[in-house]
Amino acid sequence: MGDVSDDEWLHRRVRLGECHRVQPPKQLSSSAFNDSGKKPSVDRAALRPATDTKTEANDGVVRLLTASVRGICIPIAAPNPPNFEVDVWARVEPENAAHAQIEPIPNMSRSRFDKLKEALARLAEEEDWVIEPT
Amino acid sequence: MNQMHAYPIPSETSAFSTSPIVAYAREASDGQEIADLPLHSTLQLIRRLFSLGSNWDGHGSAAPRRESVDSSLAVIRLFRNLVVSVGQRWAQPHVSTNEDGNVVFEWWQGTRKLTVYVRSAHVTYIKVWGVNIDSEMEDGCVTDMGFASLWIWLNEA
Repeated sequence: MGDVSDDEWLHRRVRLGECHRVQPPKQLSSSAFNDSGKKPSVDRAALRPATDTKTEANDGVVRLLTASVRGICIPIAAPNPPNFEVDVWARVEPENAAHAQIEPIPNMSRSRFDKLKEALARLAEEEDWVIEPT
Repeated sequence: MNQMHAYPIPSETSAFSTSPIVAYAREASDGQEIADLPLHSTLQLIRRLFSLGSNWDGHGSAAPRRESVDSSLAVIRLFRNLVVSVGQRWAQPHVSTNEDGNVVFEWWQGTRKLTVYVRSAHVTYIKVWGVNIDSEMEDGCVTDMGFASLWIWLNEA
């Protein structure tokens, strides 16, 4: 299991163009979770203010609960403790100690990663905005 | 994934040169026509994708691929015609691209969502009705007349 606690909130920057609808019910494009390495980046909310997750003034920030991310897929049958097909790992960067990644285990096929992005977008839709994009 | 009767991408499949999707592709390259008026804003959004460069989202995504953007202009016309032909009401999609530069169309209705990817070799879909990727999503290739049934599924919600 990854080294980020189940009860930690994760922040993800979202741009207005990645939202079909900003007001409730929020509608978030799966493209908001694009990642060329198929390991979407997030920030651990407890370690970084949401305002610092933004890279542009108009950016918004959504949040995901780590336990919900781990719950996206059915756990792979495995020895105890169970392996999760989707997990969250701290990946500290020199300029961002809060950086973490949502990592499929093992690497996902193209179509399966597309589904993962759908699930992440839906989880983010279910939570209030941390910061609304403008 | 259902591979039967999948829509080919017009520019890459001369064997399908008589299929409707090719005819629409030729119209698309000649600019907008009167029949396109209901799609005006969508076609504009698609064409604007050409302005995006690589890493346009700060997450390493590729620049939109020209063949995908060109094909998506044809595909969206075909989709609308199929929807109208079965007596359904059309709705504008959200338009974006994925990390590979392929065009993505998305529609929401209640708890259901439909996503369409215009890829290099075919057009694929994902039906979403929950977060579990094993039991609450379904994917496949868009087939002949298949988009109409996807649309009806979306709007049954």
